[in-house]
Amino acid sequence: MNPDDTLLHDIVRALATVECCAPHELQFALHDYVDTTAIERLAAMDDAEWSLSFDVPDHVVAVHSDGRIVVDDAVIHGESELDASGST
Amino acid sequence: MTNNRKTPQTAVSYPVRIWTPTTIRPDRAFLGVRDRVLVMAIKEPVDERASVDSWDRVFRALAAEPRRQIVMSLAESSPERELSLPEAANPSSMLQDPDELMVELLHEHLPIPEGGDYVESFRTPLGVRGGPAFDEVAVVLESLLTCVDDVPDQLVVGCQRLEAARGMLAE
Repeated sequence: MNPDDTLLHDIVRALATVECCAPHELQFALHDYVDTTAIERLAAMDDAEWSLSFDVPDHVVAVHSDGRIVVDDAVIHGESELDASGST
Repeated sequence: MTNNRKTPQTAVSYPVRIWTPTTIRPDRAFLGVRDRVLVMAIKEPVDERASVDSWDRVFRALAAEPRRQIVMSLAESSPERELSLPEAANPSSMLQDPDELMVELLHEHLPIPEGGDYVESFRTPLGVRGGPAFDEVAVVLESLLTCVDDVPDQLVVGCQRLEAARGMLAE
């Protein structure tokens, strides 16, 4: 797997968690709602701080450069990092 | 019939209008001079932007290894034939975890060549076949194979199909 694709997989897994299904069973293609190449390029930016937010069917997704993936205001991926930082 | 001037055969199908010399433009074809005015044929409009966009779409569709593998797999079998995924995108030389590749195909790779009508995919089980514009992407990769001896080594080594075309692989 291309290392920059890891974020794409994390986003798909986060959505699958929310939808209670396997990643390949999601009923939509991420690419139809967000430019997946843009996600790859953002993931490849080592020292940049960024946030990306987009809508998919029934959900709002926010991805952050610190690794957090937030779906509908709930941190689905990277929560432990959030807790460790003491953020509220 | 007073006009016995020979005009290009192709001019027949063009709407012909009369233009003054100041209206010479690159999108007009010169037919001749009649009664002190130029007779020009309006060429079929050439949408250069559309051509550029087409090339951008073609290279974008080919800008990832799994997508190139799909195109080559279809070209080598038959574009009309339905090939199974992720196998057709996963050559034995660079085997990727099938589950991971499946997710990448569904969410990232397949929608791109599908959007250009280069391929058509189907589900349960996941598969792919050539689309109406398949030739547009196939010709790029097939052209590389036909002139493989001119391709720089750094683009050949590690690419199974180019290595095979150059005879670098053992039978």
